[in-house]
Amino acid sequence: MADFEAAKAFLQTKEDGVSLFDHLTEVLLKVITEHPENAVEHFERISAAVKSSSMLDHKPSAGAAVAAAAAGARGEAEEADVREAALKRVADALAVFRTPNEDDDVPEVGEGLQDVADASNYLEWAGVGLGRTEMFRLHLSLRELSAKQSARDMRVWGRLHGLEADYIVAEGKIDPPEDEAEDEKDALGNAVEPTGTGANTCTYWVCSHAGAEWHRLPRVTPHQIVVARRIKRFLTGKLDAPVAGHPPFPGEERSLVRAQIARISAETVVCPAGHFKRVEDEESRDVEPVPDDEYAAEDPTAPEGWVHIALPINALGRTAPNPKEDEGDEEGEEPDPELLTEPLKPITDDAPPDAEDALPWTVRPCPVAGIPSAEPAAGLVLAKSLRWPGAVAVARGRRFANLYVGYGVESGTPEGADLAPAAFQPATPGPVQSEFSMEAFNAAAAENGAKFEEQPDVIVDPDEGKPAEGEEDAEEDE
Amino acid sequence: MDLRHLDDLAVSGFTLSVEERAGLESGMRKRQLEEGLASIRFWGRITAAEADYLVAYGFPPSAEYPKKQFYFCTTKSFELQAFPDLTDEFSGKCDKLTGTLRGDPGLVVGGDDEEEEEEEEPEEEEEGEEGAPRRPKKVKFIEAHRLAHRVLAMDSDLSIVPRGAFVITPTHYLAPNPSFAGLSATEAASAASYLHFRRPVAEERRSVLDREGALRDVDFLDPVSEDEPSGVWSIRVDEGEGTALVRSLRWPGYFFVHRLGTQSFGGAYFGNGLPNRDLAFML
Repeated sequence: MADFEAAKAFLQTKEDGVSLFDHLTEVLLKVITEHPENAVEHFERISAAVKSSSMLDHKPSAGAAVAAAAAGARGEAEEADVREAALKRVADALAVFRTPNEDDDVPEVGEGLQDVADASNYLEWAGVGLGRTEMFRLHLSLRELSAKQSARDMRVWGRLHGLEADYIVAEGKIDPPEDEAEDEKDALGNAVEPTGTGANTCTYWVCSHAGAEWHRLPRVTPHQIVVARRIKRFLTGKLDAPVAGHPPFPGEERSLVRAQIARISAETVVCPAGHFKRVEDEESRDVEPVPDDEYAAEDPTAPEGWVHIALPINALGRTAPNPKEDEGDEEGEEPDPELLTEPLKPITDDAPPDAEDALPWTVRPCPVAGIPSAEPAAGLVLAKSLRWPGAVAVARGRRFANLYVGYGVESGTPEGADLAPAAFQPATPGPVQSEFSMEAFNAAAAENGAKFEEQPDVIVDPDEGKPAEGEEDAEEDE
Repeated sequence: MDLRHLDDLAVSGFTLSVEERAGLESGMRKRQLEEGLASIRFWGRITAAEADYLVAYGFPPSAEYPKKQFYFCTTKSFELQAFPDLTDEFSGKCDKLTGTLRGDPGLVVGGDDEEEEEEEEPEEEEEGEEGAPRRPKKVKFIEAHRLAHRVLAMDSDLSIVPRGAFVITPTHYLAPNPSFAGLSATEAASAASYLHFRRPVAEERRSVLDREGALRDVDFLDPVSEDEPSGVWSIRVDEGEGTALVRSLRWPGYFFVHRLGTQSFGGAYFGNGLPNRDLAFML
């Protein structure tokens, strides 16, 4: 018995206020209360956890020190800011659920508003979606935006991932604002297409999450599209961020977002053939939905059955040649007919001319396991762009939906038998400016009868008139 | 990532269709029961021209280090198959093929391979007659090899866990940490809080791991903050939603979500399986 007492006394010896006996009691208590699996394996950790949490332990554990250092890096004021921002974000998301009072003067919701919840059900079949709950909130938020901006044909365009924040993009059509300059030109001298036509047919709004404020993006200029084709950048998520890269991009990130949206829309917004027809006016390139009684279903399960809705963008960055300067200007050379792009082109035209099997689309019926109904049109068909990963379209009967989800960069055109996308080639810097040449300068000046000569270099000897230093030193030394 | 937590990845913009989800649920469970796997998880979806590949991985019951067993299927059939073995020869071939996949795992890669094989066969028979040990039938180089090669390469780059979620036991087994309480918002914002779930590449960590005796709990995996170039991982903490989103910019399409302050974390890949070779110009 004396041995037991002695052993117990030893265990109860306190060093730094803790005895091994107390510690083991705590550890065993933790094991018994928490019932961890394989307690032997985790014994050391449980022991360590008890030590670090023990009030009796004066020495801070290494982990606690790291956490304290990290917390120190973010001061309390900053902590409060973060909390406030988080709270605002949740409050914003909640605000979309408010129902307007009857007395309020609520503007009418614009016509053609997409049934977002319905579309998201279909898009889920294609493996994309922003989440059912987020889509529902977006639906409410979009309805409000459409009413506020009196925009038609409002829809969720997609989500662009940015490094620091994402953009959720909404598309709609509005009348040109009154303060819009009519014949604006970009730095390359190409006319910016007015709101409602060409690459600016639709107007886009972005926000970071459903409920946040929508920001309208400016019109896209041809120059921006041309440069956007030649640079490849991740978006940062801040609309006013500068855009780096070469050639220099004319504008802030909001313009780059807009230019990429224009490019993605032109290349990937598709629908099964037969949904739209051109309006009867010969001059116009607008399209209109085919009325239900004229609609004849075409087989959308093959790539041939799909067409682009938006107008393709030409080499100038427009959908048409530049407008003629003056009405009387007949001398101007006839614009290249290829510059006038046509709507409703089949997607099979997207294949590179030298590799027809490298069609940048994959079109499949789904569910793959077979359509429960005998009617083929009852099934869904999806089209995925391989050139812009994340751009998909789904169609079922007369309904279809498009969505883009991704970083807003293309995968490059597949090259060679391996179908590996071509590596991005950054634009090379401009050629080095040639050195000034007197002959060339004189040759140009001779037309005006002038002749220039290079002055002989004026060399002033700084030591002139002074005694040479060496001599002076020599004298002193002597 | 656990299939049940897939909704956490909604912020990525990608999801599985009901069909894919339903098929995978059964397919993965079947594999788990057949092979007695401790757990099986969804890895990702690789878009291909004809059908997409769905990839899952499981942990064999007594795995020592992060030893994953990979399985794949196409969206045409949800019968999960193990990856074929990759020989050095095949790996070399795979390295040269940098394009997208077709979506047919049995597709013989390289059109003239088949003819070569027919020519070779008689030789093999002769050898057999001479009494030499008969070589096994030559394995064809098929797209499943390319898929395996690519997924393994990606997994080594992409598979990450929050710091503290896994611990190494004194007997040098890797085990989930039952007392992992999740990262705080401050911790989650730092790239040092995410560790590569693979055998460490850094020499000093390797030697720590090989040393006898007890180990410190967490410093045995490479943190993603050491990856080159800096900025290859994009980390965003959304305190409004209470999540941290980690994305790889080298493999656009990899998303990892951790619910702050909980044990829930997981990542998945949705993309065409091509690395971003233009990363240097894009950051």
